[in-house]
Order: sequence, then structure tokens, then C-alpha cells
Amino acid sequence: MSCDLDKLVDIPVLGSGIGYREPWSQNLLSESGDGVDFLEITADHFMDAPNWKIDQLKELSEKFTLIPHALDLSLGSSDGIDQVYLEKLQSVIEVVSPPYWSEHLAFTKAGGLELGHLAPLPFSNEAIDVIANNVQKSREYIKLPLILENITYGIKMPGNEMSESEFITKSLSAADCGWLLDVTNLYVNSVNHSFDVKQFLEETPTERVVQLHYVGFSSNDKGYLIDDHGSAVNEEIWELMDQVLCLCPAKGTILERDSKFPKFSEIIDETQRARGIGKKYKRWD
Amino acid sequence: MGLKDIQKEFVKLSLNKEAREDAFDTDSIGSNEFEHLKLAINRHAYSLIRKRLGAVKSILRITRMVMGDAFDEEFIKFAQVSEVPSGINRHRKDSIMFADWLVNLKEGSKLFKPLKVVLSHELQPIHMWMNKRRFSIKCYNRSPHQMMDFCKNSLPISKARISPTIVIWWETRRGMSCYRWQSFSL
Repeated sequence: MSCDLDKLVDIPVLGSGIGYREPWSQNLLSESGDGVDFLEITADHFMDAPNWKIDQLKELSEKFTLIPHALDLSLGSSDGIDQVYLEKLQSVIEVVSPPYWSEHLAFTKAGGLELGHLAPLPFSNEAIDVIANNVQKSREYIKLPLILENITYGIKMPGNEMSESEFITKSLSAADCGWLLDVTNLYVNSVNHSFDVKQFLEETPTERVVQLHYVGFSSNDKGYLIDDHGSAVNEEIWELMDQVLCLCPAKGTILERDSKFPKFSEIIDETQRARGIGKKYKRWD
Repeated sequence: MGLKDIQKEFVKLSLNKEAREDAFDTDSIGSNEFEHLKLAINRHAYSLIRKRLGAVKSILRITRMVMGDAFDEEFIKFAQVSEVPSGINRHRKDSIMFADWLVNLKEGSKLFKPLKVVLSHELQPIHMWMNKRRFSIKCYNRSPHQMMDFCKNSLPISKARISPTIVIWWETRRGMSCYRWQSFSL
């Protein structure tokens, strides 16, 4: 067992949480927020922010454990990581003092241009080396454990040398990171790219899973699934979450709703259901 | 092609319409590693624009109500020819650039002056955020408040009467922290 895997085991149990979104701020700070065990914040939304926004973060951190989730460090960029962004990220992390932070197995920048969105990496050894080097550089600034998320991809990049499961396994090992297993992304990819989820989970290091993401998906008229982050959680996702929480030593789950916000009570219901699955497998009380 | 070139080419093709046209030109078949991904790249490029549109729509909500579907159509045209903004404030910069585009587009039309007021009003909290200002005052020849009421009642903002107005913006930390405003019209 590597040193960092020990650190992952030491991460406290968090339970069932949600991704913090502005429309829910009052609910979360009132009694109805008691149905949420912890929050994930999008770190980018608090970078370079005015004081009132940082105060909001401090207020939330008095009630909840906050996990910073970064979008744009671009750990898969062969150009290396953006030092300025890294320093801003470090500042946000210092405000919330989390047990760990998270990013993606992806890239967002290349050749001086920014996509503004996550793009997949070729499943190649070169990409694994890049991830490992960039994670190493990020550790010079942020000493906390890092967990990396599997993304959805509509495009299979040129240069693939292995399967996605092998790529994730080797990347997490080379970078010595935990896994933020996005259950919806896994399901969506399995349908869109026709692979077996059960086999995928057998091939990947489920012992590295620290946290889960989940949300509903939609589909287009050709049956292609879209992780639009704007739908209620589908039964297929609940079923997969059950399998995943049976297998993985996850410390917490995050409902990642980004659009078409329902009533807060519906969010609490989904959070409660996720909590129940975790309890069933004794992941938390 | 190594990782560096793959990423550079992918980003260029995703963001630049002309680069896509050049790369996927029928004369250049086989010369680009992404050729077989032509459809997927085009879909990806469009989805990036739709994501930008979603973010800009949420910032320029009133303008979207005023313009309806024409807002989306204009944004797609704008996004295909404009530089993609970068950095933490990319969506805020995108909104400011698109507002300029709309103002230029509507110059000379009945909508020009009222739309300019609505856009300026909607962008004020964005400028306050980006410049970390806690207080600001804006003067208009029409009342943003009246125009917002028109929008909510599905009335054309071009009907808004001339009414010199001062709008005071400030940062509040009571209840839900945010920017608030109050207008005073003659």
C-alpha cells in the first residue's frame, strides 16, 4: 500500500452531500440544510471573488465540511499547469481547510488556448506521465490528498493505447491519487461506448475511491446519453450506485445538479436515498 | 503525433471554425489525424458554444427575455467569429463582449437605446464583481425598473418612456449576500 493510499484511508467519513449552488444558499443555512452532510464547492466560483463571496464561503464552512472541486487546472495538459490558477486555487483551499480536494482526469488548455470545458485525454502512457508530473507540481502548493474524477467523453482521442479502465488504473497509481468516481459518467460512457460496467469495476482500483458524484442524465433521439446535470437521478444510476457503494470504501457522495433546479426538498430526498445506500453497506452511520 | 500536438490540434479545431473548415476540406482528406472524427469534433465545437450560451443567458436574463430566441441565434453567430475569452471570469467577459456585439447590431433600430440601458444595467453587478467594487451609481435616460416590468408583462421595452434615472448599486451581506440596487426616476 502506498503512502498516499494510507492518507486516503484516514480521510474522515462524510456521508451524503450536494454540490453547492447559489440558489440553495438560504436553504442550506436554514434548518432544511440539516439534511445535507457536507458540501462540494466549485473552487473556480470563489477564485478572485469579492469579499462578500469569501464571507459566504466562511459562513458555509461553519456549518458544513466543504470539499473544493476544481475545473480548470488542466492536469492533463502537456504544456504543464497554470501557476497563477494553482495559486488562486490554493487560496480558496486555505479558506475552507478541507480533508482533500478534487480535479479531473482531463485537460482544458493547450497551445495557449482554453476550451472552457473538460476534454478527454488519449488513453496513452504519455498522458499518464503528464498527469503524474502535473499532480506532483500541484503538490508543491497543495499538500492535501487529491482525488481525480473520471469524465464523460463523446470523442475517442487519437493515440489511444489502452482501455479507459486501464488508463484510470495506471493514472491513479502513477499520480498516487484517490478516485472521485462519477457514477453517472461511468454509466453514460458504458452505454455510449458499449462496455460492461461490472467488468470495468473489476479492472479498476475501487480501493482508491474516496467520493462519488451522481446526477441524472438525459438522452437524445439516437439513444446517446448526455450527462446534462439537469435531470432527477435515474433508476439506472441508483442501481449502479448500489453496486459501487457495495464495492468501494467511499467516504461520501455528492449530488451534482447544475441546471433545471427542482425544489430543495427534492434534492434532500435524493440525498436521503444516497445516504440510505451508504448505510446499507456500512459506509457511514 | 505526440500528446502536445494532439491537444493543440484538438483545441484549435474545437474553437476555430476556419481551422475546422481547412482541416476537414475534401482536398485535405487523410492529412489530419482528426479527419475520422469530423462529425464528433463539429458536435463538440457546437456543444462548447451552447455551454457558453447557457452561462451568458444566466447573466443577461432580462436581455434574453427581451430578445427571445433571437438572443440565442445572435450568440451563436457571435461565438463563431469572436475570440473565446479565457480565465476565471471567462463567462463574465463573454457577456460583456456579447453585449457590445448586440449594441452594435441594434444601432439605428427602435430597440437600440432601451436595449443599451438594459444591457448596461444587467452588466453592472458583473463589473462590480470583476473590479471588486462595493458601490456604484449609474445614470440612464430610461428607467431599468420600468423596462424590467415591461419584460415581465411581455410588453416591448421600446415603449418605455424617456425618464432620467439614477441607479444606485451596493453590496449587501444581510441575508443572501449579493448586489442590490435601487432606482430613482424623474
